This record gives sequence, C-alpha cells and structure tokens, in this order.
Amino acid sequence: MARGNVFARAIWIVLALGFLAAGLSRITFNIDVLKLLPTHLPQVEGLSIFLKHFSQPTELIVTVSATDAGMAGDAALALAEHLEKRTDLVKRAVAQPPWEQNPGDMAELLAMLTLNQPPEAVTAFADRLTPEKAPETVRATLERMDESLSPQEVALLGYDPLGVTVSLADSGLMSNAQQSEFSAADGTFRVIYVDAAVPLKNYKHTIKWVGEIKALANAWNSDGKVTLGFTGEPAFVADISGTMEWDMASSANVTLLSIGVIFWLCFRRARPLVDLIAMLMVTFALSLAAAGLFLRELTIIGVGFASIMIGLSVDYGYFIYQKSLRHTGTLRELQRECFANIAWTAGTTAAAFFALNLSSLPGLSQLGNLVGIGVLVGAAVMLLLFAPLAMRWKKVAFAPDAVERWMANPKFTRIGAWMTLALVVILGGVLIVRGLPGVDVSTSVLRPRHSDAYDTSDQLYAKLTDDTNLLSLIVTGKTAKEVREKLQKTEEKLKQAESRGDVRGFHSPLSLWPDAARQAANLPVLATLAREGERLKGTVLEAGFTEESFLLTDAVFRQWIAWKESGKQPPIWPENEASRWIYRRIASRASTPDGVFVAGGVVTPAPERAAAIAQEIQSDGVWLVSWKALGSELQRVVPGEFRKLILGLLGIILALLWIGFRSFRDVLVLAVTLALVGVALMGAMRLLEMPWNFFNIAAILLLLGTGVDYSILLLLALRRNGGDVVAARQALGLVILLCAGSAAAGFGTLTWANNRGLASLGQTCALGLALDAVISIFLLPVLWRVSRGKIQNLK
Amino acid sequence: MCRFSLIFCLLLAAAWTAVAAEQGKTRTVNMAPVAQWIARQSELRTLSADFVQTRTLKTLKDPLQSPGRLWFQAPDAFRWELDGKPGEPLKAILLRKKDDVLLISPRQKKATRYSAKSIAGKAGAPGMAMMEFPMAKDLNDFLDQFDVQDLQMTGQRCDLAVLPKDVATRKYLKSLLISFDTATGYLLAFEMTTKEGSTLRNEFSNVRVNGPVDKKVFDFDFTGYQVVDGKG
Repeated sequence: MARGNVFARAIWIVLALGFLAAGLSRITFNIDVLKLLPTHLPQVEGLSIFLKHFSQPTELIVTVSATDAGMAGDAALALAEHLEKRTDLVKRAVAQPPWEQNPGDMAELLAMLTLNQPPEAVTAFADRLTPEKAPETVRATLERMDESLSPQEVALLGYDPLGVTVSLADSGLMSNAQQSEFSAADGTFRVIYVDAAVPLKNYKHTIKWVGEIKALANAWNSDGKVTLGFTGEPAFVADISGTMEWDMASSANVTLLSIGVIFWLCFRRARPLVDLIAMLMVTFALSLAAAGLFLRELTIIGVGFASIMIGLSVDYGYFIYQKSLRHTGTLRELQRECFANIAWTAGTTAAAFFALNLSSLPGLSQLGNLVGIGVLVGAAVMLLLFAPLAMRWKKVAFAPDAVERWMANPKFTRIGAWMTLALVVILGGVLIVRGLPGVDVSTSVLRPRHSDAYDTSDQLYAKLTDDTNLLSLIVTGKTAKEVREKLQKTEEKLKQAESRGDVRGFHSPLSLWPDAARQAANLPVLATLAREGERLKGTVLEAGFTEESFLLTDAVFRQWIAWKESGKQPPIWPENEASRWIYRRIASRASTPDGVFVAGGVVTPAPERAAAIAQEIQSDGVWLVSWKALGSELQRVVPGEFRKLILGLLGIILALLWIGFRSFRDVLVLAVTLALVGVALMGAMRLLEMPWNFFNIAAILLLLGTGVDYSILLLLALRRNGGDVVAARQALGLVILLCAGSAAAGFGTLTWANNRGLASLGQTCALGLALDAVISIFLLPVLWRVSRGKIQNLK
Repeated sequence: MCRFSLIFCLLLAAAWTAVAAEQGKTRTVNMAPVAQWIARQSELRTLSADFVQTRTLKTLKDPLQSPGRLWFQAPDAFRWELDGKPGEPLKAILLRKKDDVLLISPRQKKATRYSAKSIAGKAGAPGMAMMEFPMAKDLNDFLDQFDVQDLQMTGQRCDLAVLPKDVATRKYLKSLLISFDTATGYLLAFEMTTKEGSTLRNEFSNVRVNGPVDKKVFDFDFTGYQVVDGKG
C-alpha cells in the first residue's frame, strides 16, 4: 500500500513536471499591441493586415543623426559598410537605394511598367517607332530637351530618346519629395536598413541579435560624432519582450515579498510563510504552463496576470492557515471545512475575471482567462498541497492578534468610521469641484512607457514624412486580379475625394500592380519591337545621340525579349533586388499562410477629414488606416461597449444579491457601499490625475467582481452575528485586510509595468480595492445599522 | 514613410553612368568680391539681359544652343524665354509673378502653374536660382545656402564655383558656376554641372541694370492655352 502510494505520487510528480515542461517551453511573448484590441474594428483589422504583410521581422532600422548633412550621409554609408563586414550577423546593410549602386536594375521595373500600360497606349508607342516614324519621334525628344526648363526632364530624356519611360509619369514614382526612406529632407537624419544574416527564431534570439548589432554600431561610434537610434520590428521585439519578461518577473516577486511582509506582520511565523510562498510559486508555474499549452502567446497585458493571480490566490492560503490554527480534526476534515468557502470565493472571483471575455478587448480577455485559470489552480494547490502542510505545523494557542483587538475596540472603529467618511466626503468634494476623471482615448496607452525603439520610430516618422496625418491604404484579395480591380475602384473614389477637397493627395500602387490581361496583350507587341533594337539604335545615333543614350532602352528591350522567350505567364512581377526593395512595402504576394495578395499605398487626407475618408473608402478588403484613426475608432466604440458591460454586470450582481439575501435593505446597503467606493475611487483618480483609458476601465469590472466580496462577507457576518458589528468586524476584519492588502499589492506592483495600459489597470484596481476594503470595514456596518434603524423608525 | 519618393532613382537610372562621389573642397578663398557682388544685388530694381543657353549632355554628340532673354523687376517679377527658330514661336517661357511660376510652352499652347514656394528647394531648384535677386541677403546668408568650392579672378571677372547645401540637389549636382563682373556686379554666366557630366550654361550679354522695363513683359495672354496646375 505504502509502495503504491509512493508510486502514485511519483506518477503525479512526473505528470506535473511534464505538464510544466510542455507548457513553459511553449510560452512566447506577442508584442503586437493590436492583439489587445477588438478585432472586429476596421482600423484594427486593417492595421493588423498591414503589419502582418509589410512589417519586416528581420530588418533592424538604424538611424544616424548629425548636425551636418554631409557628416550624416558619410557616417551612414560607413556604418553600413562596417556592419556588412560581420557576415555572421548581417545579410545586408542598405544606406542608399539599391538602384543608386546598380542603376541597371531599374530597367526591369521600367519594362514592367510599360508592359502594364493599356494596350492602345502600347500600340501607339510601337507605332511611333516604325521605320517611317521613329526619326520624327527621336527628333521630338531632342526638341523637348532643348525646350525643357527642368534639368530632371532633360537628363531623363537624354537616356530615353524613344520614350520608353513615358509610363513613369503616372506610376507615382515621379514624386519630387526631397526626403526618401533613406534621408530626411535636410540630410542630417539618415537611415540604414540592416537585414539579419539568419532568421530570428524567437524573442530571445532577437534580443541577442539586436544587442550584438547595437554593440557593434556603438563601438563604431565610440567617439560619439553622430547619434544612433535603433527601431524596426526586431528592435520592438527586443525592447518590449525584454520588458514584458521583466514586468512579469518583477511584479510577481514584489507581490510575493509584499505578501510575506503582510503575513509576517499578522502572524509572525516563518515556516508557514515559507510554505505559503512556495505554494504560490507552484501555482504561478502551473498557471503559466497552462497558459503556454492553451494560449501560447502572452500579450503585453496578459503578463500582468502573475501578480494579480498571486495576490488573489494567497487568500485561500490565509483562509486555510487561519482555520488550521483552530482545527483539531483530521486533514480531510480541514479540507472539507475549507472547500465550500474556497470553492465559492474562487468560483466567483474566477467568474469575474472570465467575465472579461465579454469585453471586446482581447488583451483584457486573455488577462481575465489567465487570472481565472490561476485562481482556480491556486485554490486547488492550497486545498491539496498547502492544507497538508498546514496540518504539520506546530499549533499555537489562538489568541486575538493586534488587528482583531483593534476591531473590537469601539473607539478605534468609531475613529475609523469618521476618518473613512471624511475620506469619502473629501474625495466626493474633489469630484464635485474638479469634475470626473479625464478620458484618455489616445493609443498612447498601448505603448510602453520606455522604449528606445518607439522613440526612434517616432523620430523616423517625423523626419521622413511631410504630414503626420497620413493614412495607409490597404487592399487585399485572393488573387492579383481581385486586388487590381479593388485598387481601380479605390483610385476612382480617391480621385473624387481629391476633387472635393477631402483628400490632399494619394499614392496608389495601381500602376505598379500587374495587369495580367494587359501584359498578355502587350508582351508580343513589345517583344517584337524590342527585336528591332538595332534599327532603332541606328535612328537614335543618327539624330545626334551618343551610344550611352541607348543603354537604358537596350536594357528594357532585352527584358521584354527575356520575358517573351521565357514563356512566363502574366501576371509578371519584377523580381530583381531593386524591384523587390520598391515592392516590399507596396505589394505582398500570397507568401503568408493566409495566401492573400495585399497592396499598400498612402493617402494624405485634408485636415479633419481622415475619419470620414477612412469610412468612405473602407469596403470589403479595402482599408484606410493609421494609428491616429485607430484612436478615434476606439474612442467611438470602446466606451459604449464597456458601459453596456458594466451595467450588465452590475445588474447581474444586484440580482444575485437579491436572490442570496432576499432583503431589499441589505441589497440597498451593498448598493450604497458600491456607490461610495465608486465615488471615492473617481475622486482619488481625479486628485491623482489618473484618466480613464481602454484598460483601466476594466478595473470597474474587476472591482465589481472581487471588491464586492468584502462587503458581502461583512454583511453575512453581520447577519450571522445578529447585527453585532464588533463580532462581525472581529471575525472578518483581519481576513478582509489580508485579502485586500495582498490583492492591492498584486495589482499595485503593476504600477511599474512598462506597458502604460497594464500599469494604469494595476493602479486603478489597487486603489479601488484598498478603498473598497476600508469602506466595507468601517462604513458598511454603519450603513447597515442606519438601514435597520430607519426601517424600525418607519415602523 | 514616403516610399514613392523615387525621383533620384529615375535620375540615376537615367544617368546610368557610375557616379563618382565628389566631396566639396574646402579651401581658403577671398570672399570679398562675393560680398561686394551680393551687396550690389540689393540695389537691383530692374534687370534685363540677353543670353545664350548651351546644354552639353553626355548623351548628345553636339551641345544644344538657344538664345534668349530675361527680365527682372524687384521684388518678384521675372521672365525668361528661349527663342525658337526664325519664324517659329518661342521655345519656352518661364514667368514668375509673386508666388506664381508658370512654365509656358508656346508651341504646345500649354502652361503649367507652380507655386514659387512649393518648387523652392525641390530638386532642380538651383536652375530657378536665376529668378531670385538678390540670391542672398548678405554673405552669411549666401554661405548658409552654398558651399564655396572655388573662386577665380580674371581681371574684373569673378568665377565662383559653389555647391548648394540642399541635400537633394547635391545628389545630382556637381557644381554651380556663377560668373560676374566685380566692377558692375553684372551676372556674366551661370552654369550647372551634374554629377553624370552634363552641363547647362547661360552666357549673359547686353545686361541693363535699373533701366526701364515694360511691365507688360510680365503679363501673358493665355487665350487658347491649356493651363494646368503642376504638382510641386
């Protein structure tokens, strides 16, 4: 039998270890803030597609700033060269457009753009180059060169005597903007795109790679002659994953420490404390493993679960420990005695957190699920593992501790009640005088508090764009043809909007997007023309052009012939390095698992017209998105959803209370207590300048779910003790303080979380729980007596 | 991010030849003649001159030459025109009045309107530097805009080689040569050399300073013309 027990235990331990290993090894961090937001919102959907298809997961962006444009330019080129020497780390470091190094590469794109023209335009082009008309065409080019006031045009025509680049005019490539993706307009800010030599496997690998590149670049810049910045997808992953790991570990550890301090202050016993901490760590590990198995990716908000879950799970430990001190029966009896209470409390707490699934914010849902799972795991661990340990400790004679003595002291409770009332009145006064807490609807709450990658990204955006209101055009489809058709319709709408003055300008990728039908019709015409290259070259030279003038035309001709002879079927995409560079943020070609084609463009809306234009253009598979527009959309949608959710939960709680208490007076007392907590919390938030945002608004749900427990427990104790306030306080004052203290510590440690949303949620919950505990202990009994007294008087 | 800003890809694709990196030469030069020239420009109220424009391109066997004329009236009226062949209309007219800049093609009966502000600083703007008198408020302002590469004195003639500090312009421009008469302050020649080796030179003659200029010269009858707004 004993051997059987050992065997069974061994199996359990192996299973537990296997569970831990399987779960923990699968945990990864997802830094995508869009994962925190409602996926049904068009802005979230569009931005997610944009990031999924156009973000470059292995491309680190290094920025180089200097006071002098020449210095910045030279430094960028030199640093790129320096980085490229480390072939083990860097595949390529690009500090200038690839076509500047190899201008010949552009011929392929030019060939494709002409191939993409309407067949009638191509036929007309070929007609201009017949033996009879070609000399006149070349002469016209010469005249244009003579007349033109634009040095650019003259230079271009010099290398295009036959006019093969006419298709560029409507390609959007002729923009005169001085800045490029490599340099700010004044040249003092340069950008290098550094591609990793190998795929970055996971966040730890990314952190290591980014660290090595930073060290390499900083060593190169040891004299500090230029200022370097690092951003891009790997930099975000490194920055945010690193802080997420730290946030989770530090908040969990500080919570454990706080719990230890609270426990020590109340019980002054070391061994149970050590065991309790160990059980909390087991709970944390098991919960994290469960998260790894079922959720895999922890979001920025999800990592906050550790401290909250610990802060809540410890309550069951306190309860079992308190019970064990007075318990004289067997382990089974202790477990049975505690089971109902713990099951009820853990069940309602978990239910409150699972209720976060009703919110439209997936980040909060994940946090709710993780804490819900953690609380249930915690309850099981405390009942199954901690209770046997508690039975082994040396029993000490139970004596009312300091907190219980205070609770029994009428003078203390009277002063406490007056002080709590004064606090509520003051905070209520703040609310009346200064108004409700502000509402922060900007997307800044999604951002980390400190992130060099974000700061550099902001700087990059400011330096490389003319307008901060730019909207990204995203068009998706299952085929290239579908995308092209959508692009055509979208371009029409944008042109109309431009003529109305709603749009200041736009760059559609339509001309760069292959048109299979046109290409199929044009390729035979152009290939035939290209085979007459020698004749045309003779015409060009005869007109006074040099051999050099024909190099570009010749390369384009060779490309058309190559496509024709290769038998390549339209749609034909340009494939060389220069083209890939241009297309990497314009077109995504079904290379992702979802197998969709995505086109990207840019729209500059007129002031204050962004939201209207985004709404007008948005249709099936077409979005106009930006982070600013996302903020506006969240502002429009999220508060309303939360209002419904909060009112719904409030209604459910009041209904449950009515079912449970069957007393209008008790439900009224609880409702008034809740209202006082709400007033005090909002007053405190106004005083501390803490605005509501998308995340801390969930604190209301959590306070309704968990904070109300304190009031319920005390009310039940009052009823059990026939209205004896002293006895009720004596029985539950300590427990409520312990629970509230631990939970507030758990939430409070999130104050230091790097994610602003998570930090604000932690602060608000900690503040709310502390106020809830104090108001429940000191004011609820008064309210209860008043309610009874009033009823009696009325009678 | 302005992903479509690829003007230089075109220029360089067109340029085709390898572009030799050219560093600005730093040399101590006597800038007194330049300061004097700029100071004299501030006295300028009107200007008219004839010129011969010569384009020398690596892609052409022979240079393209066209005569023309220009007029300026302070503070911001300017007309520059290229003659056509005898009996033919003018080849091109550049007309500025206040903030409006019009590029007119009489042969095509077409005009494109730009805002002077929007084209200032765009690639190729040095070509428009001719429209600006004075080119700088003073020597310091001039040195803020240009790096001086060379200065040669031949009698009263000063040949000043500069390179605009504007980054976009520097990408394709190798140098800008301004020749002027130190005694009169008259502009004698203006030449741009691109990095791929082409030059655009204007030789001025018959320069008349602060003489009467018919205001009608800055007016243009667009009847029958297609006038479009250019995207600056």
